Amino acid sequence: MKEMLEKTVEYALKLGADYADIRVEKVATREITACKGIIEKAVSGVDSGAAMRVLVNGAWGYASTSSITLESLKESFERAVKMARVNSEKLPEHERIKLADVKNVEDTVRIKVRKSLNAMDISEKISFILEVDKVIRDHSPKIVSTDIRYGDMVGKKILLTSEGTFIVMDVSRAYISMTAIAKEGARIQSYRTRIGGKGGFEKIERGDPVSEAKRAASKAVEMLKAKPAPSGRFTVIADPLHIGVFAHEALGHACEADLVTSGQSIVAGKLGEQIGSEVVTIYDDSTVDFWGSEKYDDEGVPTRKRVLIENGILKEYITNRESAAKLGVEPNGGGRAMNYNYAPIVRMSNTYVAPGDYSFEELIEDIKYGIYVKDSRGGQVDPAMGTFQFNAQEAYLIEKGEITTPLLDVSLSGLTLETLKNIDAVGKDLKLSIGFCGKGGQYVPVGTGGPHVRIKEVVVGGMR
Amino acid sequence: MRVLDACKKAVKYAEQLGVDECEAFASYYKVTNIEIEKMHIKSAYTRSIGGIGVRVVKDRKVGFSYTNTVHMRNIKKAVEDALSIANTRKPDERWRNLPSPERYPVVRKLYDKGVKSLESDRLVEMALEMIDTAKDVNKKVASMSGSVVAGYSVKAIVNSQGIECIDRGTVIGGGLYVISRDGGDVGVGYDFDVKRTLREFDHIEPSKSASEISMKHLGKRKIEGGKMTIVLHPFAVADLLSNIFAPEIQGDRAYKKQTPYADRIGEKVASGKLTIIDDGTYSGGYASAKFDAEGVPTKRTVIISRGRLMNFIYNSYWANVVGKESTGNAVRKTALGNDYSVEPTVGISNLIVKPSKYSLDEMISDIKNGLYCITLLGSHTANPETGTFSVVAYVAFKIENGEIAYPVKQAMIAGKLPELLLKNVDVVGSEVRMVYNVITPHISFRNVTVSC
Repeated sequence: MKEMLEKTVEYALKLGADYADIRVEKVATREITACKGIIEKAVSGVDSGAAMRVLVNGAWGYASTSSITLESLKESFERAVKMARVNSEKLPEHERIKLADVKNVEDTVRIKVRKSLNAMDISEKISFILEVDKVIRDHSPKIVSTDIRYGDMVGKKILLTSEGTFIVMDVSRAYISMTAIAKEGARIQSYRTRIGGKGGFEKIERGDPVSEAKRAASKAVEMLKAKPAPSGRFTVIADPLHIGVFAHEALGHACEADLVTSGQSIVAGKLGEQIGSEVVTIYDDSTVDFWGSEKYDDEGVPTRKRVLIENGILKEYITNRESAAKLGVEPNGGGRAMNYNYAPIVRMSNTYVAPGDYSFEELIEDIKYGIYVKDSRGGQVDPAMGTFQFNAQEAYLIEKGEITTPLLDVSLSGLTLETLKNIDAVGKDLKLSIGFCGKGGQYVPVGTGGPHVRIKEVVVGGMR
Repeated sequence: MRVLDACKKAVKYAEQLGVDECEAFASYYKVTNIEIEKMHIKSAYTRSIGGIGVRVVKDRKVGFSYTNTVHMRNIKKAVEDALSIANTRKPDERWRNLPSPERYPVVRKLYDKGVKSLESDRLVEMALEMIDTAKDVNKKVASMSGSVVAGYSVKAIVNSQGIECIDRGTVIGGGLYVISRDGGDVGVGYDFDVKRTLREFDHIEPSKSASEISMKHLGKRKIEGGKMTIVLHPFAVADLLSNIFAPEIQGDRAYKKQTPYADRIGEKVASGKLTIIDDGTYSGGYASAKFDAEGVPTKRTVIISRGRLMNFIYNSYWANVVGKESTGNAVRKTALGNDYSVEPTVGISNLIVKPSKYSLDEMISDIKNGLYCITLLGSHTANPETGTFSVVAYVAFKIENGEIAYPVKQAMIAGKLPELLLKNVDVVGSEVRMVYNVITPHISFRNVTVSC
């Protein structure tokens, strides 16, 4: 394989490319869904293909193909070079792309797997899914429906660059999401829990799926009693899963260097400035043993822990080779692609708020009237304005330091730079959660998390 | 290998293996994408994506598998894998059969060879024209991002009940997100156009409009929250309908009691001002086609007629479960181009909100205190089971005394969509926009909670 890929890259250089790389992938996926004791979907399949990328006179050209033969790869490189030439003719001199220098890497990255997802029979996965489905339904007669979704992917990714990097990486991830739907009279509530990891099926077993299934069921039933949330500005306590979405949406996206260099980020030009309160430290760490980590990014750059904010001071951005060159810094491995149909762009890995030293009781005791938000179905941000929205899957009123009434689905909103300054206390716990992040049509696995955190003056989008 | 041949071979091989039924779906997409960043073209892509998905049925047990490489060896493996999955499952007592051949409707403006044969140079030119247009209307433009995309697709379906169909389509779209700056103040605007034919596509007008919105979005002010009338732009309507309403009208979800509309056919569930139709045969519609994702003819299905719930949408499986006809709403939901990799489920084709006779100006002129929301943040986090949403109206303007007054700094709107559609609809507008597969005018709602 390596020899064939080298030939195609040499061919691209001969066609006039100044830089060329090729990524080849073969990934098997399985997806199983269940509802109320019935398997609704069981799918397995294989996707394989190659992505070609070239720089001609500082302009990018891309092509992809599902046919991995010497002839087809060469033909794709011809298309990529043609696209780059068209693009290059119209590009102003100061916008020509340079890539930050990197050391060439030759490496094979294996993932430790105890219970192989390929070797495990699909019938075993099906019985497991039916088991958690039953756990949810057995919890209460108020559970009227379930939605269980299991997915895994196993395969290999190869990267070869014209500079001499050659990396072979294993792919192995599995996840399950379990939704319980409860009904009482005309009221319906749903609650979703998720488990997953990088590795084999053991990553799901270690997440204690049975108790997570029970938790989904009991929360769905509990939230039937939820009342509409108040609207306006409140002091909010965010749990680890919720604050993770904040770290990701509100700050993480704004720290993506492609947005910074193109004038689309609220934190552009603010390195070294105090942009948050002194208790705030936020990392994006691709080196922890978690869902969103990779040893190398899809440009072959070794990843590392990026300190986005330390004690409120903006320290660094997440970069790929292109944006690192523009900023004059060393790339830190942020170039990720969803699959061979897409080019790597700047992405997060596992983004989380670093723990502080408050206990939960200390965080909550002084709040006269506030809101406790937990977990999230996700959020969205406009990084240029710093306006964000994130959903709370579960919320409660806080009255005189006590958690009281459960609240119906609610979301929070704010402006990144205001909200970072309004974080006034950080808890000492830490928890991470799995998710997928979408940007430019590409979905990649990311982790988010943190401790319990107290934020003042957050806009709560309630119904009353 | 051509897609129809690939399907025929897959079905034939499955029959040789002794399955009761088999369906093969193959698709091929060619997409050229020019990306805009800052004030120039960032990159140019061309992508070819395709593959085949095979569904087999043996003793009422269903299995599905796919491959994106249409060599006979891989097609055979996909058929074998689908059969081995089927064998691990329990018989599905609800299984009836795969759909049978029927006559397909004539649907116009789905394919344009002008789009298929567009050269990347012309797309690059269009992108440059978009950039120049945006810069010309507004001197405060600081940055932008966007794209021009031209796509060609061909899809084929063959099943053992005799369905054998193939169709091709084209789509061309262009969108621009413009950022304007004035000192430390940032304004943003977005607009786009997407069409099936080149003649109908306009890349200039949306570039102009995005740039104008971003300029008008400068000088935002804080406003007081409270209950007020909100006017939703077609972008915002489409965002809420596709994230909340679309799943709620699925027949499978209704059967499983996962929607507030379950068991309510014939009841008044929305304002009498609302008529909503699912129409896969809409001429030039983004999601229009002759047949759905399992080869059933597309149809026009009235969902809500003057407020009354008339129908849910079905694919053939769920139609069989409830003893109805498929409404031609089988879809293969996935990222662009990978539709061969998923089994057909139920989903909207084009969702059409019937327009009324009021222009936007007329809608606004009656409002003393209100909010005009163009784009929302976070609709995807709404809860379709309950219909609750809590989103940011992030490009929004204050309406005062019948006029658009100024852009607002921060505002959230929240509610339960089914309740809003029933109790709060004020006016349905007259000018419709095709926002991908939701075709809708402006709609205004009274008495909505705005949080600031």
